Amino acid sequence: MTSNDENISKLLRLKRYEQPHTGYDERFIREFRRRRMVAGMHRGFFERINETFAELFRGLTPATYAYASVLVLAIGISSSVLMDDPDGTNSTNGSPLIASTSTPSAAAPGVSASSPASDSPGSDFPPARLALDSTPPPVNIPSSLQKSGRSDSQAGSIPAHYVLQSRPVSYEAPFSF
Amino acid sequence: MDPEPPSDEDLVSRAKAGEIDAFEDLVRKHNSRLYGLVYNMTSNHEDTDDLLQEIWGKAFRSLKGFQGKSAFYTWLHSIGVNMTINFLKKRGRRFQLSLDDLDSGVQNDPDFIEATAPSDPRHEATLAELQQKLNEAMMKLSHDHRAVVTMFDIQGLPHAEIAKILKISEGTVRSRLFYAHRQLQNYLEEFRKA
Repeated sequence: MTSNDENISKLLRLKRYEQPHTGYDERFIREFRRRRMVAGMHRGFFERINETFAELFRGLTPATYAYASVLVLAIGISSSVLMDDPDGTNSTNGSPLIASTSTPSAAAPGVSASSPASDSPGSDFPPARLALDSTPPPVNIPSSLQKSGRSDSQAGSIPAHYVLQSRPVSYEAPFSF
Repeated sequence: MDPEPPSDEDLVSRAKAGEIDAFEDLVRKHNSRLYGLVYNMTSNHEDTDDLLQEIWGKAFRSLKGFQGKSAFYTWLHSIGVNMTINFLKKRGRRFQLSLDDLDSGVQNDPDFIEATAPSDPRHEATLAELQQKLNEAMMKLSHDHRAVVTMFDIQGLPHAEIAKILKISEGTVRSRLFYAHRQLQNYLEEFRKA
């Protein structure tokens, strides 16, 4: 640094002696607190919501997001499976899969003729969903099939799912004697 | 034995956790230097007061985003310089000097004694005149040059620290200082001859 620069620096350093009045810092802090209170009261509703969510998600890591996503997906899949009508009593909007296996020649309600292969009429294999379902869905038995050689009293006492099991033979439990 | 004062890292982590007292301790600790930065760039006490409130308000709102990669002081000064320069650009040329009083300690400063004749009966006038001329000279610099002069010459920060605060290279800091000193020599030539 040249001597001229040194002289300028010495003069400028004297500006360090320019100071606010005594007690300035405490007055400043009191004003700061007051402004914070006013700002807090005037925050908009959406601003508070944004801050709350930002606070909620601030500490989350990518791993946490991944776990949460998998959990949400699992809950979603489970809910959609459980929300399937377990009784199938509503034939008008019953599962198209059930309708297709019980009346293979009839068009399934809610299912067009060009339905996917797994639901195609005449398919020998049930859709995977039925195979996995532990509770066989009830079947809408056409009247022609109800009188199948059994007496009425017997037919009334036998559950419908035993007469017309929607599962193919290979899925039936072995007989026990 | 007095306990050690808490470090900036400790105060920042407590303030992030919601302790307002910790943030106020940060204000008490750094406000004096921040005041010097803003005041010497604006040469107006009232503007400095308002700006400081806004700077600390922004620091409070942004604290959770502060990751500690730099010193808290550096981060705070970055906010302070940027907000002050933005304010000065809006203020334009319409400004009025509103100077703080000079602390009485200046009269014992060797640099002041060297710059003025101690037995001169015009001593008091020279002191006021010196302050006026220094501030007028600073106001003639551009905002960027005034910032580096304030931090280097008045606050005594090293070139590397100034470069971090302004996010420029050290070479740019040095060249701005060189140019600013040339300009100040011209503005203060009259006073220096006196």
